[in-house]
This record gives sequence, C-alpha cells and structure tokens, in this order.
Amino acid sequence: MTVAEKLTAIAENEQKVFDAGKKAEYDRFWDAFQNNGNRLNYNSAFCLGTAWGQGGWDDTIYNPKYPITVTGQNNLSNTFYYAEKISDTKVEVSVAKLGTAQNGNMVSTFFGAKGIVTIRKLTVDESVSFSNTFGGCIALENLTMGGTIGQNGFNVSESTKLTHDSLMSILNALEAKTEGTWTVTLGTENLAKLTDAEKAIATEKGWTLA
Amino acid sequence: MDFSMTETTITLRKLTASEGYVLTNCEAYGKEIYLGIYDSAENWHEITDAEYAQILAAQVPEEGAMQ
Repeated sequence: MTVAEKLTAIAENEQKVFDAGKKAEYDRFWDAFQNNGNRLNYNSAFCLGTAWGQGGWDDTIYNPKYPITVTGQNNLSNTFYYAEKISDTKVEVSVAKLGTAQNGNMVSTFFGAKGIVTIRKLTVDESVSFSNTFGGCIALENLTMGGTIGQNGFNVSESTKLTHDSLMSILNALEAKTEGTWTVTLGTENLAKLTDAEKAIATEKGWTLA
Repeated sequence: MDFSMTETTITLRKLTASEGYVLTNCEAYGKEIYLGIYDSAENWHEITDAEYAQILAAQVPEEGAMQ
C-alpha cells in the first residue's frame, strides 16, 4: 500500500474512528455514572437544582445507558427535580420495596420538570408512596405506568396534556382494594377525557378519582 | 357467529364543588370527585379556592429538599 493509499484509507475511516471514540466515551461515562447498571440510589441524580450548583442536564447529555431501577426509601427522590431541559426519560424508571421491610417511595421525583413530555415507562409496586411526584409537569403527555399503584398521593392534575392512553395506563395499574378510602388525583381536565365506564375502572377497584 | 348482547349499568357517585370552592378529604383536592366504592361523601368537604391556593403554596417542596 502506498502512502497515498494509506492516507486515503485513514481519511475514509476517520468518521468510524470518531464514532468509536464517542461510543467509548459514552460507555465510560455511563458505566461509571450508573455503576454498570447496578446503581442503587438516584436521589437528585439528574436534578437541575441551583442549590447544588448543578446545571446542564438536558436532552443532549442526558442519555442513560441502563434502566433506572431502585428499591426502598428515597432512592428515587428528587431524581428529575426541576430537570427542565429533559423531555424524555429515555429508559424505564422503576422503584419497589426493599426486601420485606422498607417500602419504596417517589418524593418529588419529577417535581418541577416542566419540560418533560415522555416518561417511557414507570414501574412501581404496591408499596410505593407518592408525594409531589409529578408537581409542575405541565408538558407531560406520555406516561406509561407499569406494575401496581397501591398508595395514596398519586397526582397528575397539573399534567393536563396527558393522553388518553396514559390515563388508561394509570387506571389499569390501580390495585384492586377491598376496603378503605384511596384516592388518585387526575384533575378536571384529565377526568374529562375519560368515559363513565373508564372512570368506573378506578371506582370499582375502590379508588376515588379527584 | 354467535353474538350475545350484554347490558351493563355503570354507577358513578359524583361530588361537584360549589362555585368558588374545592372539595377535599384533607389529602386530595378537586372540583369534581368520583367516589370509590368504599368511599363516602361524608369524607369530603368544601374549602374556598383561596384556602386551596394557600395549601398548594405550602406544599411546594423546597429546592433540593432531601426527604
């Protein structure tokens, strides 16, 4: 191979080399950040809170490699708190009880994330409690619930753009109760998107719709 | 094919707040409420829109609040 041919080959491979480098950089960062998919605590992981001096999580740099999967208390608290420049969770987010003793929770997980449009899949178990979880998510359109909603505090009333499919995924995820008073808050705008038969999916399972 | 028609009666119990009021059970709030089968209208009462606004303001978590 002549020098000219080698230079031509190098030029032809330049983009491949660049892409491989970027991929290696991506893998190195996210493998470390997400502990090769074994990270246990995402408390405030992608928040844009000025109190931490953090800033910059946006759709370009937020590109997780692994699902966000945690158990127990507060490991999904404030995770996307005021993450205003992230529009898509891109991966499944899930939280469940830790062992038999410690229930899961979602405290302010998406609070103030006013740019988020899509929560790809959010899977919870019946132990997970909710507090200000979706407050201020005014752009949220697509929310696919998985698992079982079993605790009070689920409130998407500020997410008035939620699709009918998203609302149905919420209703279908509600645990069938046998006693007690349980409430899920959809808000007037979202309730108007549901038929009486669809609302009855919740009420017949023992859930009051607000 | 055998088509069998079914008739279903759906019963919803709906509470509607008065003008300028919001319904609450002290945990949830709404202008209209569809009661679950184990819930009762007695568990709900009205507060004014102004009172509701105050409650909402008090509920906003502090930035960076670690629970």
